[in-house]
Amino acid sequence: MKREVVVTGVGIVSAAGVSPEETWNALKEGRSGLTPFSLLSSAKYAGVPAGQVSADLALLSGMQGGCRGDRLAVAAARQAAGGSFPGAAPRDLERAGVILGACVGGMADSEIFLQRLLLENSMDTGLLRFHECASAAEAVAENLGLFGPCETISTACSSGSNAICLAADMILSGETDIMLAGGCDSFSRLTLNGFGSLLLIDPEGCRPFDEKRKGISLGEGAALLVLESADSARRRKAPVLAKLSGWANTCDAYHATAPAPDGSGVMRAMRAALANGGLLPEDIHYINAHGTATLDNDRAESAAIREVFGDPTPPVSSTKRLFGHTFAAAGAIEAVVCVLALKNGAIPPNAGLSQQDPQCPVRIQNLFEASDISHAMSLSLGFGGNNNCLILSRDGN
Amino acid sequence: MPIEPGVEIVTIGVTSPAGNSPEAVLAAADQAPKPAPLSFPGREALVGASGFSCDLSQTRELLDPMKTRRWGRIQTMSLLAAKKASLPGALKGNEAQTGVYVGTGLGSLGETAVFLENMVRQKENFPKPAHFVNSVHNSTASTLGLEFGLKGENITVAHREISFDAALGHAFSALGQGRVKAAVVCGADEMNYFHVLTGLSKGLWKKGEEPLKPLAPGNSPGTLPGEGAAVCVLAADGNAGGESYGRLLGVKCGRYQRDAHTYIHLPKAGDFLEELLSRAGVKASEVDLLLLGANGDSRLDAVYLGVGAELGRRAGKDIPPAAFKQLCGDYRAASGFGFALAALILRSGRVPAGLFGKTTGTPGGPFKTILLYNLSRSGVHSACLLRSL
Amino acid sequence: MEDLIKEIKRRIVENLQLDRNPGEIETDAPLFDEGLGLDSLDVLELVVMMDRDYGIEIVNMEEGKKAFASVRSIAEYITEKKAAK
Repeated sequence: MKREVVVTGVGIVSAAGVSPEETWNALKEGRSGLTPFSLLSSAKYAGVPAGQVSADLALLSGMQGGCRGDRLAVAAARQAAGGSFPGAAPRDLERAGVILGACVGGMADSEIFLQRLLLENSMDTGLLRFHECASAAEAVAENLGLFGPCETISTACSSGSNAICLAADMILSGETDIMLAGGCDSFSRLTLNGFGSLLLIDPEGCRPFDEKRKGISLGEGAALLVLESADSARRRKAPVLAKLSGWANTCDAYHATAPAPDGSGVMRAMRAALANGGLLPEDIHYINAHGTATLDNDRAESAAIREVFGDPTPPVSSTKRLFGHTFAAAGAIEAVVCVLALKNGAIPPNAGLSQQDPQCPVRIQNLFEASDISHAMSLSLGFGGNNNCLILSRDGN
Repeated sequence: MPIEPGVEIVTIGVTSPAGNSPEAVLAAADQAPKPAPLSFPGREALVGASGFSCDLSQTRELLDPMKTRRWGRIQTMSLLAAKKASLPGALKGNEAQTGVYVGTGLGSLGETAVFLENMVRQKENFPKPAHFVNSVHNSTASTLGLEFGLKGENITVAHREISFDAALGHAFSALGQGRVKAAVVCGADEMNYFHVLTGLSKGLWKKGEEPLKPLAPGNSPGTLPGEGAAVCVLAADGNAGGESYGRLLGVKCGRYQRDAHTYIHLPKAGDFLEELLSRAGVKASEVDLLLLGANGDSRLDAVYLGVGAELGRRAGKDIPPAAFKQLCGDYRAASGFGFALAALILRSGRVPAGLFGKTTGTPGGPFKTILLYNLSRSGVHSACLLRSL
Repeated sequence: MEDLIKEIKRRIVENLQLDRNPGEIETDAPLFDEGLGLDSLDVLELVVMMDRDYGIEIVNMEEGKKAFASVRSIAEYITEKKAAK
């Protein structure tokens, strides 16, 4: 019998909430978690709407050390694992692992190191201890006692989504039965200034698919899923929240930052994911778009969705107005959104929209709506034309 | 568990301090290359450390200046190595279904530094957008995809010393499942001023200009920085078109258990290696050579030799241990260079004496089955199993 | 105007890291697409250059693309903006 990958736990920490329950409430209301940026000292970007986590991360993670990204990841991991996988056999636990998407790592501290070096000629190498983005996955593994795979995927905005798919692959191959998978990223001045230098930040907060949209809002956060073989879930009687039915990753090979305008790379990812899951376009009842609210992204993504699904498309929403664009965490946060949507039987709205851009001809879900969705698709498009598509399904489908 | 099919190593290419061609690398491997004093143009002229740097003088001849103007050092090294690996020819027209898998520990440090330095000096005014775009870890993978029109999966692993091996593992799995028809796998990390400077301050580097002597008795603590890019093209068995270097039978990465006395819990490390071997249908006694990521730091030598001895116990024989970082220096993705070297050994049928750190009494062959093993002090380790055709 | 044109060519080569002599750039040739082959990332770099070196703020890509059509159009744009100040 073909091995199946199911989701038996989720954890999420973001500007919209520090638990799945809080997050779902925010999604129901379409309540934005963006607040005026103040987390780091930045003359140019102070006050810009950003998805900042205000909770006490040391408390949520139980960590005194590590960088902010590590704590976000461990906080979410502890939620997802529910106290270290109750009921798991020791052998399965020993082989359990973690794959996280992460880009920023400890950059917020590394920047300070560099600034002091350049302006004061002083070297405080302690600031570099958690520089590498590998730090978060290792913190999670250490915290939960995992000795299976331990990796970090760093593919910009699609990292978290990629990590989930690669973790599923490891389960399907039999390398392991239980994997924590997701993504995390915290703020850094590099990220703010970097996206700012590309003229991609909207000073009024992101408005996905809106005709007056001007770009992204940045955010920080972490989300992790427990992915498990169906057998292992059965053995330890773990509650199944959803199934990972299919996935695919493609490359545009078009330009270093701009997506292929016809959305061809995204189309291929969607079609491959559907084929991978043995599903047809009409089986998809909800699409959580990458929807960063840049002019290019929303247009290209809409073109691709329209091409694959025809007219009318399934209901589409981008949830980035709630969280901000959390970079490596985004794909994982949005996977959790899909799990919650399937479990609760409802479609979250596309917050931040006043007037839909006619050049984005997809069926935008404007209001929160109860709906018996069986299959949800999540799209994540990274810098460099990296397109990741995953399909989550209600258990029993 | 059914034995997994292997994949063929179709071609390799390297940009390395030991040379930018298989011939140069094998010739260097017979010697004990000396590190050179490091200097960084535009910075203080001399950082006060030695290391192993690559010669990139072929850039202008082999790559388009309108493109290289955009690239950081890591991208240039990787694209040069890709050319040496005979891309695109080696892909046999499968570009649309070729995946790219890159392992890099520190990514585009140089580009990040340029952007950040400018940000600090200009107080966030007048930024450098092109350098930001390059600073993401997956810029090398994107550039490889863009340059050769590779439209399959595009994955970048950034996890310390197992970055390359983990990327290789994903390529291996993707080929086995038919998600891609060919895979371009790259391990790259660049020499960078800040990395060397902070390493100096942390006491990571050896002093002087003596060659590295991994695994040799009388070794000293510390290592030396290096850099490089290694690219290989993999294809499923039977799809290589005849001329391959050898076969990759399996890859395994994970987190090791620590031990107060032996640093790594050796029996569990032995289990880790045996799991890889048994999945590939190979017995420990069939392993002819252990190619280790020992970096010349005496404190790690004992750990590597301990793991090797543990495997030898299970094999019922001593498995000759060899090392490669004396050729390329220490950098996160150096196991990519080790992999390329292993492929060269399989094809040429001989192991250069220099890899054993001795000049006499080197083990005889044949060396048909090679196990590569790397570890990171952070707690992860990896192994790859290669076999001749 | 000629001095400004020379200066712009020098700055373009420097900022965009082009592997050629400033004198080789034709004043009236298109900079983007068929001409020199610059792209959208180069537009952003040129926007920064205008701000840093000439104190001229370009607020959107459309305005940028028009101003940067050729070396001459850049020179004219700068001259026009400076006169307006």
